[in-house]
Amino acid sequence: MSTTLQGTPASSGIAIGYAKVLRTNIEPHVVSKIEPAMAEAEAAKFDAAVSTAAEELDAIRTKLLEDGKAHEAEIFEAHAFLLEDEELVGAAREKITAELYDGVSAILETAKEVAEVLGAVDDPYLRERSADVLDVGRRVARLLSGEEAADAGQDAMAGAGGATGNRAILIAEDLTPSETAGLNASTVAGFATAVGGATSHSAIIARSGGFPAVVGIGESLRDIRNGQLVIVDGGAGLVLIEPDAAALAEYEARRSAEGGKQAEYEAFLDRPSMSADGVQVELVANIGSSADAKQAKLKGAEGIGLFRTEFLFMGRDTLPTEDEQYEAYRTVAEAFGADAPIVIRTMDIGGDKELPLLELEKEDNPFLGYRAIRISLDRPELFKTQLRAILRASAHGNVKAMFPMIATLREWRMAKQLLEEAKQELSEAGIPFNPSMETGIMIEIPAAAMMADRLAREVDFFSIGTNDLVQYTMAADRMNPKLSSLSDPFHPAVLRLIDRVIAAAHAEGKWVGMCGEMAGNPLALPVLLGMGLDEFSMSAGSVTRARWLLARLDRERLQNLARAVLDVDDAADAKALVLREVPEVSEIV
Amino acid sequence: MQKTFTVENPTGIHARPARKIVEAAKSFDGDVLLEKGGSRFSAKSLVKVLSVGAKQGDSITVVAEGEGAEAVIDAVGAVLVLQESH
Repeated sequence: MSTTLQGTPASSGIAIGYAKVLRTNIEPHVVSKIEPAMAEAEAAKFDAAVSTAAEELDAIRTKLLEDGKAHEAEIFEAHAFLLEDEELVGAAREKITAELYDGVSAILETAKEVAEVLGAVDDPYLRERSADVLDVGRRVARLLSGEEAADAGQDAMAGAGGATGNRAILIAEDLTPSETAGLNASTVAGFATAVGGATSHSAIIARSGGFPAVVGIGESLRDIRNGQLVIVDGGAGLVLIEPDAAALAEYEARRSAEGGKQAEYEAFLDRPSMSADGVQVELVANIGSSADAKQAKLKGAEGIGLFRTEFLFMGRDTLPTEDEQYEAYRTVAEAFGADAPIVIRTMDIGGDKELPLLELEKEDNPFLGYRAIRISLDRPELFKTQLRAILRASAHGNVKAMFPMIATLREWRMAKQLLEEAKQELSEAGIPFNPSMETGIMIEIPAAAMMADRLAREVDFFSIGTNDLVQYTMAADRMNPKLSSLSDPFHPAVLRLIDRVIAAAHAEGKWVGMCGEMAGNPLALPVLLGMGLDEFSMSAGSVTRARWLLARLDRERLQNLARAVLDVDDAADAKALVLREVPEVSEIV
Repeated sequence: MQKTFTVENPTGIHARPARKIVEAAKSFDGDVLLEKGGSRFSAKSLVKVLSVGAKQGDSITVVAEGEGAEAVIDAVGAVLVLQESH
């Protein structure tokens, strides 16, 4: 019988395939025991799963190294090391042979015990490691239960004649960012999770990898069994279980049409980013590591609108040195050539991105806490090291610096002062940099949006960070799926703030960009263009689609729409207005 | 036999140094133990070494017995007194 589940759209596109349920994630675990006669075979199965896990980790590590993601690779190297640990693997094996646990129970129980020991040590770094232990335990457990899963999937496939190809739809409680980054497009078509929101790191990675995904579906996701035929409609946030023949045919047609659309977008790879009435804007990419820059250029980005530098600081024991940072920033600048804009955002640690290295205290409300520029201003040496590295990179391209989480003019002035000191230090040392490097701020706190007129007098540019701006304006945690209707940038309250920020920047002759998820949303593009946004920074995979759409839009005409959406009751009305005024958009959302 | 070392690494004994300790200890056939504040931990398990929670300035006693004990104690001690983790 067919069932349709509604979740939050996380990554658009249609995926059709057979469900592979990550059972160890989704089902609450109870210890199961085996017969004594089975112990030896169970232990052998366990050993095989451990060595397969080691192979998997090695493959992930190799791929990350090839992509230039050395720090991410090190996480998995540590995981491989844990797989050799007697305390984890040896103890789990003993639970099988001595206590007759089945393999899955043995590894999960042992991982839990070990994680509790590490979690009890008063050290934020070790708390992080306990998550690694659990992750390694789950990997082995998944392989142990995955044998059945693969069989079930194959049976179902044979029954259906394999009409949908053999890529799986992953069904999980949640996927960690590293799990999402490790997804293989040749075996996985898309995924659906019970928790998570559209701006979680997993969703962002899914979009950049082109995996259709729906998140935040809730408990009903547990109804899906291994091997069931599943359709993920990432754009609408729908998951169809065992669809009837008509629905399947319709979605298969839509999937091939999307393939055709994609080819149409690709044709815009090298064209100028220009509206139908000749207004040129910048379509640039958000990246999280220097290795992503090349990919972004290949996908048509004209530059980088947001380089998230915090990833340089994560998953390591020591702070990155000035030289190390300089190399990373220069690599990005050089990937694009001298004129392309490269906006480097100083580190945004805190919030959902912990940095064990800084030994930050746990907070009740990390998103309202000690994060980003608040840490940087508090630790000037740390901040100036980064500023010097950015300045040095400015000798190699059109590099701009951007400060995150600015709430007040005072914070901006303090940051600017430290930048001036960094320039002074470089001058004295005779190290080259661009003395007139543009310096701007993110507008992601409503306080900054309200003060945009004053801030605009002093900065060189704004970039609107809609993910946080929406979260702070609507007072809705973006990770909480129950609040996803509040986490919508089309709420007129948010649109009014955005409009105000753009107008304030232009009144002072400054440019304004957007680097939140909204910038890549086809429904939002007409509104933002009408408001006069100058730069749109999005996941690299969305750039050609945005350019295709832009070429069909007339800014002159959209100015009325941009005013009209400010004067409605709610987000649904604003979206309805866009769809009525710009019917082209309905082809792609 | 045993020797006592002071942890010099400003970030304590974290992933990389802990791994080096385990690698050094595993080259020895017998038990290699780390002692801190009266508790003993096997130096052959990453989990155990991490759970020592050793911070800069802590005194750690390394214990091993038998042939080659001094060499393995010194090898583990060398990691404990390292200033940098890499």
